[in-house]
Amino acid sequence: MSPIGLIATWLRALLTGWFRAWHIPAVFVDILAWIVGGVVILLMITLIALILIYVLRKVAAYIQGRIGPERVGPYGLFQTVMDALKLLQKEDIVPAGADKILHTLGPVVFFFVCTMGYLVIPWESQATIARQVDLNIGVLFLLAFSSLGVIGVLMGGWGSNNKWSLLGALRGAAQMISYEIPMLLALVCVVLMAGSLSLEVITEQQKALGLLSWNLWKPWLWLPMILFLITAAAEINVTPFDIPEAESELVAGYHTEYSGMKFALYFLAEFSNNFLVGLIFAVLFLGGWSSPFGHPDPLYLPEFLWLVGKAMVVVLFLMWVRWTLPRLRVDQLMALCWKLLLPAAFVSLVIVSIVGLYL
Amino acid sequence: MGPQHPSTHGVLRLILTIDGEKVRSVVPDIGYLHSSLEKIAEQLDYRQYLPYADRYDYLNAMGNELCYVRAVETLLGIEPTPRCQWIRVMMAEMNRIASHLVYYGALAIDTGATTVLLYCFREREMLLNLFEAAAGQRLMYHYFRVGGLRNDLPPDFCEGLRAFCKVFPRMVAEYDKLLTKNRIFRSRTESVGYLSPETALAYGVTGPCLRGAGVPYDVRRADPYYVYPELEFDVPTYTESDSMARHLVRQEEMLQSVRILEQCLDHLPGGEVNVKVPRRLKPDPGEVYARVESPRGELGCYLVSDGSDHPYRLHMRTPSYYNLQAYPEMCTDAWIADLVAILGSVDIMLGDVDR
Amino acid sequence: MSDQSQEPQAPEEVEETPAVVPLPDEWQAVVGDLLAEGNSVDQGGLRRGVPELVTTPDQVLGLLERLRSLDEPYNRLTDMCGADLGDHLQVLYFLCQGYTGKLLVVKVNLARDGEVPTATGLWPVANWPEREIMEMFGMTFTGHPEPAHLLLPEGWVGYPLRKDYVYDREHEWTRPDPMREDPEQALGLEEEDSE
Repeated sequence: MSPIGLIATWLRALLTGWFRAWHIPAVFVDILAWIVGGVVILLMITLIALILIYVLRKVAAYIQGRIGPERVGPYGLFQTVMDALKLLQKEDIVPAGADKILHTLGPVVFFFVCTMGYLVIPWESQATIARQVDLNIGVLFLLAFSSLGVIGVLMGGWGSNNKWSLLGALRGAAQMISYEIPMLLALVCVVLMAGSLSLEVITEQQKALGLLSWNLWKPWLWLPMILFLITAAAEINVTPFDIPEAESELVAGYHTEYSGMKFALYFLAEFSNNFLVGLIFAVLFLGGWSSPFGHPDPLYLPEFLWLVGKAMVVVLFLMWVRWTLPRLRVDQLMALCWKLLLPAAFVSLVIVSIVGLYL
Repeated sequence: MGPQHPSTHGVLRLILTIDGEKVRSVVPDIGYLHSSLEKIAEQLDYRQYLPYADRYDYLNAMGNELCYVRAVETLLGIEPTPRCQWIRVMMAEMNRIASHLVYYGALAIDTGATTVLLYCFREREMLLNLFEAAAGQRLMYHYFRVGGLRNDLPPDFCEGLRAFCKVFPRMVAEYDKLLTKNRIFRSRTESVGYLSPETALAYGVTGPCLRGAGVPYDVRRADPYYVYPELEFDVPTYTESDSMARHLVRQEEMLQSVRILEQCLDHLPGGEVNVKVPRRLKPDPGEVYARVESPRGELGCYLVSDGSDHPYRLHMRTPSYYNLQAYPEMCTDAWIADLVAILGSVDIMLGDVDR
Repeated sequence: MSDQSQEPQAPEEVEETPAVVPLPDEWQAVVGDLLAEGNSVDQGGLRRGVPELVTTPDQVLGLLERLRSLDEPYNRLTDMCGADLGDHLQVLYFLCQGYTGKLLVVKVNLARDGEVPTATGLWPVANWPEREIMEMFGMTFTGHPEPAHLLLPEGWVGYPLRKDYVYDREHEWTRPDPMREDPEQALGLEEEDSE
């Protein structure tokens, strides 16, 4: 059993013992476990986002021939922490004429939705964080929540009473909804091959021979893989597809009017989304938590480290793309989706179906 | 849109009528940076105004100084020394490259590619260091003086410039690969922002915008000044008349400027840089119109003297002012995203527009 | 390109000591009948041999049109500016012969509150410069499509580029900023808020 699983089991046993001694119904142990689990996830997401922002800055600086943050802490490590603290202190401004409820709810919804995705990620073979829920429809759950993200964006954009926010939100909605379809089809291809919607099962199937049994090496999954990467990049608004927040056109897009913690929520959610895409990609194509050197892991590293490491590779790739490419225009973006990606997704679906039939 | 908008290149306000994401009409609203530079000229004497000439187009300070100094010297009947002329041309061309580099990066930012700007600034830094060595300033040089220069070139200036000339074409090839040849960038700029030669004529468009419409008009060739007749360089033109054509013209111009710089370094004569000028400049009454080619187009300086020691009337023909007038014509049926990219390709400088 | 550019250079040699340049003979032929119509052609002019024509407000449009339809037309309006010459104002049109370096200046003298017909019909480029000259010198371009302020704020008092202009702090341009005083009213949101 993994360290996290051990700790969780130990804590649970401890709590159950105490609660029994204090004559508190055992249900509260579950409730407490949920709360603690939720807080842990939130903290982890924040931590991941902070680390990612730092890494993004450093990588961007490296790509652009700059130095990047280096003043706060060793190698500027505390820069993002300080930035987060600064955002916490900032005045929360709701523009005159904004819809206060929507304006406040927008980032909350967006952040919530991004967080939900983490529930179904199989971090380790024994202990998925959402074990109690036991989602055998992980892929479906992910898709469902990624489409909900649009609502958060729309709420923020509409509630801000700002032309740029509105334009950004409308762009974002159009883009996310359009790119969902090829993404779904790409995922269906993987699901078809795996025969299961559960991310755990998909991971299990790739662990036998380590590196060699990854979905990455299956030629019939290459097309879905590329499609997934493109559409996922569009879903999380990184550069060739960052039109909802295109700085040079829409100031900051749907979060133009946000400041302080609300802005931080959008910001964190975006980065946690970024990482989520890395995680999903790692699970689907790079063998998830399994070691690339075969099963069981000859290095005895914690399994979640493998997953996080693989996800980081994907995230770094997306960052590299982000700092290289210019931005598409709205109509070109739509044309790309409907005229190229969608047909390609259907073709790959057919190919995978045929391969799946005869394999 | 604007005046506080990240990509209006200063404080330009565009009054847009949009239909969804389609732009129906654009009306530029200028004047936010107006600083009455023409009126100031009437209060100052001819030498004192020189630093103000930098402020018109702050990315092309040398070019502005060149224009103003040329007007004053023509008025006074002073002919600068050969060395001074070569150095002035050299400085103007260096500044042209520096200005185009800012343009290049800005257009990349406007289309969403952030990295190119940093790459451009890396090379611009080399130029700015050279400017700093020569003039002590990095942006507003105040290096040209009536009758000469502030000082001769510093000792290792020419070596530094040679090193720049050596690496720069390679760097342009790198930008070319990174930005110009990128498919997304091409789809953002090709057949976008069409400006026909006829419209360009009607709106008095000059500079790379005009050459992008296929008209090989360059003041350096049409009304040569200083040592330009002796220099070998091409005036690049593209006939596509779109944003990409303007972009390519500028990219080509940077390389042509390097060619000019290399010739300048080879031919730079020795001797004095300053001629004797009277302590108080009192030109005879008269007027003059001097023109130079700035990175943005034809830069003119109309100067009237009444015999006293300050200009009676000074008027600058600033290229951005006229190029911006044609901007709404280029934006017919554009998308909001194009608006920004077209503005970037017109390369206006608000200090140059509002004066 | 280069032979195109060499050609116009010929008549305007840079002179060491610029003096008053008489109008070239070819010009007498071109504008001779214009003179007969009452336009005056100034013998003085810009240094470096740029010819100039001086005319009156009511004849300037005819002259400009005439210059545009010459065999070698001066069809590019490269610049426009105004000047305050003390007792009268002046509008200058800098014309170019297409895309050559050949320059010509047309000057219009007018009274301090005079009117000039707009040249926007001939060259759209005249739009902004005319607006600028209007606000800076206080003359009127009749028939201008949008005679609003260009560089100066609306409601500016006086014409800054006139020689007799005095910056007056008493009448400094101030306009109450509705956003600063009551943003909600400025945005028309009072009703929503009172609900």
